[in-house]
Amino acid sequence: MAFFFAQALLFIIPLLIVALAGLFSEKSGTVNIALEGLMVVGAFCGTFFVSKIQEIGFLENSPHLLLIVALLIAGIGGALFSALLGFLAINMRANQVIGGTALNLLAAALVVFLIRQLQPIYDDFGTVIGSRGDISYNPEVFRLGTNILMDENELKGIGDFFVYVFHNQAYLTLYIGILILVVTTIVIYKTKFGLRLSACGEHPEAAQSVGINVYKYRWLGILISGFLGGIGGVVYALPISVSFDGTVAGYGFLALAVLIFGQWKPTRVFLAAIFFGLFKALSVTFFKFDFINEWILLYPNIPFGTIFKILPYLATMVVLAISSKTSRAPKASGIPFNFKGR
Amino acid sequence: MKKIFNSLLNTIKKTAAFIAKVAKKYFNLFTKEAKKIGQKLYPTWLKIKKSDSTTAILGALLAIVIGLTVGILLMIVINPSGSLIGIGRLLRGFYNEPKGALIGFGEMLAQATPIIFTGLAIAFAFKTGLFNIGASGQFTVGLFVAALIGILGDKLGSFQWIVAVLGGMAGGFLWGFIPGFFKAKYNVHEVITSIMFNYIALYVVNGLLKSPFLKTQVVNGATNRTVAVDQAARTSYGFFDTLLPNSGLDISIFIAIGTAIILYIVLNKTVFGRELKGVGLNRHASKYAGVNENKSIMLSMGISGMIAGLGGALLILAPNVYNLGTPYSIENTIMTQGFDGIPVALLASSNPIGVVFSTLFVSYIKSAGEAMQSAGFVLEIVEIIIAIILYFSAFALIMTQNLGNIKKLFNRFKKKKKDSDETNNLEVKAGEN
Repeated sequence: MAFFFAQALLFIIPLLIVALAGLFSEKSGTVNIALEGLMVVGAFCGTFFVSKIQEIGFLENSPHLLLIVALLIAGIGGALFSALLGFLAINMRANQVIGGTALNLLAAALVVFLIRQLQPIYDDFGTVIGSRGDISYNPEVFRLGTNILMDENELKGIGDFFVYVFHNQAYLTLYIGILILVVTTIVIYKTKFGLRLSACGEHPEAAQSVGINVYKYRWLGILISGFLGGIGGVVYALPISVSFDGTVAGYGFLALAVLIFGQWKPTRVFLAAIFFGLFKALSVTFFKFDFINEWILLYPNIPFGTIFKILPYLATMVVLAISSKTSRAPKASGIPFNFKGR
Repeated sequence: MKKIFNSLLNTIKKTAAFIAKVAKKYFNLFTKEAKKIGQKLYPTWLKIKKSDSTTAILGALLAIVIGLTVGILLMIVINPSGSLIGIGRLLRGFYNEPKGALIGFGEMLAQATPIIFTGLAIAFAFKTGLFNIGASGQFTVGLFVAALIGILGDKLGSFQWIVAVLGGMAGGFLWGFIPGFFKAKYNVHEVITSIMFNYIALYVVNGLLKSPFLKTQVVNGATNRTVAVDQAARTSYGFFDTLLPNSGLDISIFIAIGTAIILYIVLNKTVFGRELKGVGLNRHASKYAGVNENKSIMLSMGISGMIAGLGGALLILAPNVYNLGTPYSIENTIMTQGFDGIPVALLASSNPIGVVFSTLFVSYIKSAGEAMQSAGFVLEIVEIIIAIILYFSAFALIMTQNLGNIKKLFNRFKKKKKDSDETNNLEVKAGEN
C-alpha cells in the first residue's frame, strides 16, 4: 500500500506542475497545446545537465542542490521554447492549436536529434561509429531517504507509513510541486499581477481600456507557462527511469485534461491530478495488491493488465463528461488579441 | 540569261510580297483573337489571383521555402564539412535509393499512402471545425479489425479483402464517433477525448492481439508481432507489379487519391458537406438555420475516423515487398501515422486534393532521411525541417493575406515621396523667379 502511494506521487506531482503551467497561459488567453513539447524540452535540458554533472563527479555530496539547478535550467529551456509559441500566438495572431502542434512536433524531433548529435560514440581510433539514443543518469541519489533503507513490508503503524511515502521514497520535487501550487494560488487570486492576467484571458478589450498592456501579460503568461512546463518535464522524467529517450508518453496532453477537469482553478487542478495519478499508479502496481491477485487467479480469461492500463483514461473521460457541462474556461482563451489603438 | 534572272527575281519578289500580305492578315487576325481570349480570361485570372486557394498555396510554398532555408542553415551550423553532400541528398529525395530511383519512387508512394489517409481524416475534421488529434487511435482500430478479419476470416473466400476493408472503416468510424459523441452531448473538447482514445485504442488492441484466444500472434521466437494476413485478404498490386516491381506499392494509393476526390466533392458540392462545414464555421448560426448540430459533429468525427480506419486497414492488408505481407508489431507507443497526418493536413490548409500533394512533398523529403544519415546527419533532421515548415505555415497564410496591405502601404509611401518631390521642385522654381 505504501509503495502504491509512493508511486502515485511520482505521477501526481508532474501532472500538477504541468497543469499549472497550462493554467498560467490559458488564464492569460493563450491555449497551450504545446505542453507536451515544453515537457520534452525541459526534460532534455534537465537530464542532460544532470547526466553531464554526474559524469564529471561534481556536486556529488549535495544532490539536492544539483536537482534544483537542473530544475532551473529545465525551466529556462522551457521558457525559451515557449517564446516560439508566444511569437506565433501573440504577435503573429496565428492559430494557436496549429502553432502548438508544430511546437510539439518540433520538440520531439529536436530533442531526439540533440540527444544523438551531442552523444556520439567513438571507436578506439576516435572516429564516430554511432550515437547514443538516450541520456542516462542515476536518479537514486535524489531520493530524500537514500541513507535510511526501509522495506515496504517492515512498516509499523501510520508513522512509518508517512516517513516511507513522504521522506524515504520521496524526492525534493514533491515539496517543490506543493510550493508551486501554493504560490500559484496566491499569485492568481491575491496579487495585482494574477488578477490582471485573468482579465486578459477573460476580456482583453476591457483590460486594454483600463490601461493594462494585454500583449505584455500574455507574453508573461506564456513564459511562466514555459518555465513551469520545463520543470514539470524534468520532474516527470528524472525519478521514473534511469534514462531519458526523448518522450514523455503523452503526459503534456494528460495535464491538459487535468487542467480542464480542474476547471482552471489551482486547488481543483490539484485534486484532479491526485485523481488521475492514483489510477495511473494502480495501472503499474496492481499486481502488488493481494485481492487483485486473487481476482486474476479466479478469472484467468479477463485481461486485467489491459483493464488497469485503460482505467485512468476511461475514468478521466467519465469525470470530464460529468464536469464539462458547466465549463469555466477563460472566455477569450484561444482568441488572438488585436490592439486597434483607439 | 539576264532576262531569266530578272523574271526569277520578280517572281520571288511577288511571292515574298504575297506571303508578307497573308502573314500580316493572319497576324492581325491572331492578335485580335488573342485579345478577345485575353479579355475573356482576364476575369478568371483575377478570380484565381484573389481566391483563397491561391493564397493557401502561396502560403504553403512560402512556408516550405522558409522551412527548407532554416533547415539547411541548421545543417551548415551542425556539420559544415558534410553539409554540401547532406543538402544535395536532402533535395534529391527518393533518387538516393541505392536500388534505383524507380524502386525509391514506389517505396515513397507506398509509405505516403497511410499518411494521405490520416491527413485526409484530419483535414476533413478541420474543415468541419474539429481538431481530430485521435487519428492515430482510429488508424490503430481500423488496422486491428482488418487484421482480425484478414487473419481469422478464412471462410470468406474472395470476399475477405473487401470485408476486411469495410470492417476497418467501421472500426475507425466507431473510434471517431465516440469523441464526437462526448463533444456533442457533454461539451468535452475533442482534443482531450481523442487523445485519451489514442491510448485506450493502443492498450486494448495490444491486449487483444496478445491474448491467446485470438491466435493472431507469432508464437515461435521472441518476436512480438502478429502474423501476416491471408493471401486472399491482401490488396492487389495492380499494374505496379510490372511497372514498379519490388517496391511494395499496391493499388491503395489509387484508393487514397479517390478518397481525396470524393471528400473534395462532398465538402464543396453537396448539401451534406456544406452543412458540416457550416457547423464548423458557426455552430449557433447553423442551429438557427435548422441544422442538427449535434448530429453533424458526431458524423464529422465518425467520417474522419472512418477515413483514418481505412488507412489502417489498407496498411495491414498491404502485400508489401515480394508479397510477404505486413505484420503489425505490438509496441507500447502510439502509431506515428496519426501524428504524421497533422502537418500534411495543415500544410494543405485542409484541402483534400492539397493533402495528396503535401503528403507527397513530405514523403519526398523523408525518403532522403537514410541517405542523409550516411552523410553524417541524424535522421531526425528531416522531422525538424517538417516541423519548422509547419511552424511557418501557421502564419505564412496571414503573411500572404496581408501582402496586399503591404503593397498599399508601399504605394502610399511612394506617393508621399513623389508629392514632397513635387513641392520641392515648386519651391526651387519659386526661388528662381
